[in-house]
Amino acid sequence: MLRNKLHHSLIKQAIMLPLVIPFATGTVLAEDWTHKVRLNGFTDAIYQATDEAIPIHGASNEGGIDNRGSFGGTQFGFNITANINDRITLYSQISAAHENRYALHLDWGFMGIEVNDAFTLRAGSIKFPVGLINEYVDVGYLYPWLRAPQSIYSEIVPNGPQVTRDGYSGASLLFSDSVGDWTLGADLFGGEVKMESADVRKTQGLTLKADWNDEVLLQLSSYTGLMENATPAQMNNQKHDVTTFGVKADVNNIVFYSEVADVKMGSLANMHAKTWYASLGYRIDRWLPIITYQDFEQGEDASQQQTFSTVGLRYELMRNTALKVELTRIKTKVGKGMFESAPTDNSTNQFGIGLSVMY
Amino acid sequence: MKNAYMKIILAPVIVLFGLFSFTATAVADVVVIVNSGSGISSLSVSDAKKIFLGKTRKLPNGKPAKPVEQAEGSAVRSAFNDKALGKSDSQYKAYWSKIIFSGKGSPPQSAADDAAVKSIVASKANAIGYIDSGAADASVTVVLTIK
Repeated sequence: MLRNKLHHSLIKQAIMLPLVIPFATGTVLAEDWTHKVRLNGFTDAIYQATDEAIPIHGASNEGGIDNRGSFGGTQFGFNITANINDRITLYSQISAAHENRYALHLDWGFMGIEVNDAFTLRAGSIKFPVGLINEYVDVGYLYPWLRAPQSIYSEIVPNGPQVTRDGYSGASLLFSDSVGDWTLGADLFGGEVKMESADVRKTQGLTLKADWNDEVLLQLSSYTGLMENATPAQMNNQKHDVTTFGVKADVNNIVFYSEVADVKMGSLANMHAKTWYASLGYRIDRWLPIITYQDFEQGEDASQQQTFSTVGLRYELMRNTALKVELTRIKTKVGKGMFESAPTDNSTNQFGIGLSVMY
Repeated sequence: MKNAYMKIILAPVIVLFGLFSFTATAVADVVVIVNSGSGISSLSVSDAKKIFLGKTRKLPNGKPAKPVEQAEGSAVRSAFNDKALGKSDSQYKAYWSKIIFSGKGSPPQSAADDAAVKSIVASKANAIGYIDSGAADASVTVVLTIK
């Protein structure tokens, strides 16, 4: 996964800021500061291998998966929340991932100001609010797959769908209100995305959510931005337009996820992607068997076509710990799909196992 | 060759799946309590649910709500999560974890037991908590009983 470029001193600040400011401002009394600063963490240990020599989901040295096996997706992180007062909260998350040789990385760090009961203003480095699970995609315990479906969540440029991003620097106005069993939400956001192989400037977008009783979630997102400093250079100055719609349901032990996205990269017809996935599972006590189908198509002439059929099993090993295994059949119908180059066989098997812990 | 490769990998996985088990939780009657000076005399289950799930930031008196929950593993917490919030302990944990790791809020302050919750509620004007019905006394006001 590509990460934002950040200096180590910034990371140190992100760690220390929520801890120092409450004391510096004098708003936290010595006897109750532990209730104002909260530390949470997560660890995901993942191993995946295919029977194909050409890596998929990144180059071999960037966590891509091939027949030599890969620990791509393995990472750990910490989340620090500091309540400054009744209205202002500081949030930050740091993590280290296999893809980045476990270099400490700031996922996000921002302040949230509660304007009133319904609106919150946020500013800083914020998690990208596009995709049903993107805002907590680093925490594998919170979803059923080993890794979030790459047809939507891959950040590999340009061999990925380019639907969602890691984070952005900017501001956001959050709205949330309840009407009966429904919770309605909106996130109006704007700023700039910085990645290793591209920047997306003038990013502005809107995410709308409708949540029924925490069991059914509908989410629609749309954003636009301008590509700069990109590799390959043909993406530079292209307008990047994305629309996604997702449904998530967890009702009577039936678990369902589905998302569809349409991605345009200005005049680059070969990067117009239409991609979707659907997952269906049934929870039996601590077991969650789940099947997932993904369809990735890129290019207005459909010059890249690839499908992923996955059988997975999630097992609640103990409190806050999940073991997951997956078997996937990848069909590369046209082009190379999300492989680094055209695979030697158009049918590829992938196996994966992982342990997700949240604390 | 591919099948043999998969069997070698899957065998230890299947063994691992069978190694662990969970503990069961007991059930208790629960009362929701507020500070006696809050002026609040009653609360609906719906109001309690919104406050403890962070869907409203205010008490019925318009003041900022300061919810206090019981520690993980507590029987009273399990009963409250089940009867008032309609969630199992793991569902409740997952609900708040998604909010925490999205940077959109933080769960209620946690207290060790009934006495600790009662002490916080009795000393903070906008605090609201839940305890076993048998632990309620005159230091706090009971605004909702969940059978």
